[in-house]
Amino acid sequence: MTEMIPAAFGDQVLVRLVNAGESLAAVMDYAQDTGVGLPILVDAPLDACYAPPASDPSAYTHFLQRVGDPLQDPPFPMHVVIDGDGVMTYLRRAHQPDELLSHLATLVTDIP
Amino acid sequence: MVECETPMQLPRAKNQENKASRRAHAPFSSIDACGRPLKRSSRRGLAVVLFLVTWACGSATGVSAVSDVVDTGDTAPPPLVCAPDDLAPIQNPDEGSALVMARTGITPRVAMPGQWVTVTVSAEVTVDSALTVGLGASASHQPVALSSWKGESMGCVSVVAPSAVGDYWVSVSGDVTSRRGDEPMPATVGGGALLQVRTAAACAPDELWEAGQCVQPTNGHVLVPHDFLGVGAEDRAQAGNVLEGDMVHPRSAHWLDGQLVGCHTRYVFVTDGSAMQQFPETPGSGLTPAPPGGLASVPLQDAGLGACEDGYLQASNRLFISVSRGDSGVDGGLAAWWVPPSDDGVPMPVELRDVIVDAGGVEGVNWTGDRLWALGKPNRLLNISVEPDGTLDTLSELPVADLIAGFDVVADGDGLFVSDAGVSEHLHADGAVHEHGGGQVLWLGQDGTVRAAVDVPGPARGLVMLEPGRVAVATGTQGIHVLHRLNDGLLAVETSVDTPGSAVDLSWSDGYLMASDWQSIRLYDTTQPGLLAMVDAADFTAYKLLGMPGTVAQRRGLRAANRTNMVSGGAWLITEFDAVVGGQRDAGGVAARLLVDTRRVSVPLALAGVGVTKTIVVSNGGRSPLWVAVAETQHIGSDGPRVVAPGETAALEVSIANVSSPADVDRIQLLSNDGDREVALLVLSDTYVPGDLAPPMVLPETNHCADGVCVGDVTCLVLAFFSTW
Repeated sequence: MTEMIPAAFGDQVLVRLVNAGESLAAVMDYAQDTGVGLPILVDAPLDACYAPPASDPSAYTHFLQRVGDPLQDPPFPMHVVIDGDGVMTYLRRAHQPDELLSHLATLVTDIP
Repeated sequence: MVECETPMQLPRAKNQENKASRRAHAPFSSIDACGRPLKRSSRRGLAVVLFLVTWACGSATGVSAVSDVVDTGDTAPPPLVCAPDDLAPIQNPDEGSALVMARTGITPRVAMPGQWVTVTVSAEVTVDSALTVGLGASASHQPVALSSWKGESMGCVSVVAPSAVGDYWVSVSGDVTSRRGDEPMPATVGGGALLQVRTAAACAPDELWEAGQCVQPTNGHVLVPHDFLGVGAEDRAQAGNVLEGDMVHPRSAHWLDGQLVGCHTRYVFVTDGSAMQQFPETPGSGLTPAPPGGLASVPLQDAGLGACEDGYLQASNRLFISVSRGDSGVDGGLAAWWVPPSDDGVPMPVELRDVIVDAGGVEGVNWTGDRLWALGKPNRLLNISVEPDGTLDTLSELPVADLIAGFDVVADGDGLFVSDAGVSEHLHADGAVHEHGGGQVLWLGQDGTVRAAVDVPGPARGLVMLEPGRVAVATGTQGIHVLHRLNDGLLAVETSVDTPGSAVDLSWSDGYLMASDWQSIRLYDTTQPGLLAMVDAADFTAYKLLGMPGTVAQRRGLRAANRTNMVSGGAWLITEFDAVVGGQRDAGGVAARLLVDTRRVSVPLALAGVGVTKTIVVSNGGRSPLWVAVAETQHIGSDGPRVVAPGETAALEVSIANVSSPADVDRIQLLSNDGDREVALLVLSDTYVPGDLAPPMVLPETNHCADGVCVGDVTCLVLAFFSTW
């Protein structure tokens, strides 16, 4: 579903997939096997530029504890929308594509 | 070859399951108190929806009432006779409730198109209450004149069955005066009954039509769970780290001589009964964990394969074939395993007999006798022979033109039906997801040539044959479609039904179609051409199911039903997120069934203190009216009880307020005539809510922008967390 966002909103929305701590090889194999074309961020200390939020061990862990129900929500997918001011406007741990796309449509005024 | 007697139907829009009753009908016609016509059909000679109303025309006891005959077109109604003694009991809400349920019956339950039927209603309301009956989505509701009867008030009307086959909801509603408490009080009345319109049914008046036969209705459910197996918990616990990819999702399960044979992500397993938990007769008490043991697992790695996605059993040769799509560098393919018999009931590990490695991976399989058809990803048709000893031999491998992402295959005579997941969705610039651009179903020759194809609006996945020339296909969020070959060899969509979740897999036996729909399983009657009639749907939220350690200690209901397996006679198995559920099909069950789509509600503490409203979505998977209410407390309020028709969905508004601590409240209790349910309520004191600033973070990018982080002039950033499993 996230693959459709660039087609709908052009460069008004930047989509980044975030892998939850698997190995770089697994992520690259997955991208090749599935044809995922979106940029992927790896939530693991692959190089010096890794700095998860606060003092949490990973970005995924950080959001897992703060979005939805930590005990009962499915672990994936987790969708976070951040607007141009750095404000989080959408936080979900459930696959709600219609809801996500509708939300983006309310944020983006210049749809190509 | 199927020749439908009804017009082709286009797929319905989402959330229109069982909306046959919403088709447009001709206007009502009615008569006055004792049979005098009030209004005639404007389309004389056509089958129309028509009500005859009667009151105060019955005998002194009020048990029956006979109307005058009214000319309604070509057919006059039969004498109107109320039948309150035949009405089944119905459970009402508490006496203090503002809802009174009306017992409702239709005679006959199964009608031919255009046939007259009688609707009888009885409720604990005063005789002067304004009670109406409506059919389907028609805006017209006709009043029912009530007379006293055995402490209740009853009346009846005549209705002409619509001209199109289907299941039609005949609803009862109105503002009434309840007699349920010590004092009469204002209330609303709810209720209704299902009218089955069929072209070939000739059942007794009190029988219903189900899967090609007349059956006596019972006050139970058709899908009855018996057995539960938490799969892979031990494997997962030993793995110690869920992020290592050692997930264990069951994908196939079959009964073989009292043992369960199946596969999950990394193993082929055999269990005996001691590994299964039994569903309690009384829901809500939780399942009793089975003692350890009784489980024999063999890793797929022994065959050089990973990630079993499906499995097929040939009981006569005790052969099990696992199907692997391939996963993260591990090859896909097929492996044949022999299931040793067990003399003492202790399960024996399966033995690998042969393997076909397919680097591209394999999806659906059709296995009959010594011939196996399989789909190699993404567009190859594999023809494989299977010897009784499990030896596999690839006879041919043919590319299929026009196939994008083959998912499942069904052999039919000299050809093959193939489902193509294709492109699942198409997005328009307004942000809406549109149906076109979905998948397709192909009709192939055995040489891989495409004879015919038909588009379906969603990704075509699980495929099953209903009868020669007629198949059903699961299309994800677009529900289920039935297709058949026409005389000219082309394919046509015969009918479809939307489902609330994502339809993934199908199985069929004895006229029943079973679908796994993620949070629920669903059962349909396929025996009426042009119709998928819902028989039952279940999510098992009435039960506490044990999940895998480390994730969810205990949960309620299905959360990711994927594969289904239903055999002749009614035994069924489904594979779930981390479990296998087995049960039995009990024909004739018409009881209301509460399905809870919203399993939990999370509320920030700040909002729970000042007051916030949340929505809980529920639906009725049964064939009788469901009432559902929220148990109100000092923290929980609601907008009152609701009546939900079979197959319909309702959104309950729940208000949460006066919460000062997360410990104040942890659940919302739902009450219904299908038992109670609990929706988890989590009050979060440290949570993100829309409007919070995103925390600063830096993550390395992998497959783009090799020279570093890509930063553009963007409006929004979407973070989509995922895992490769």
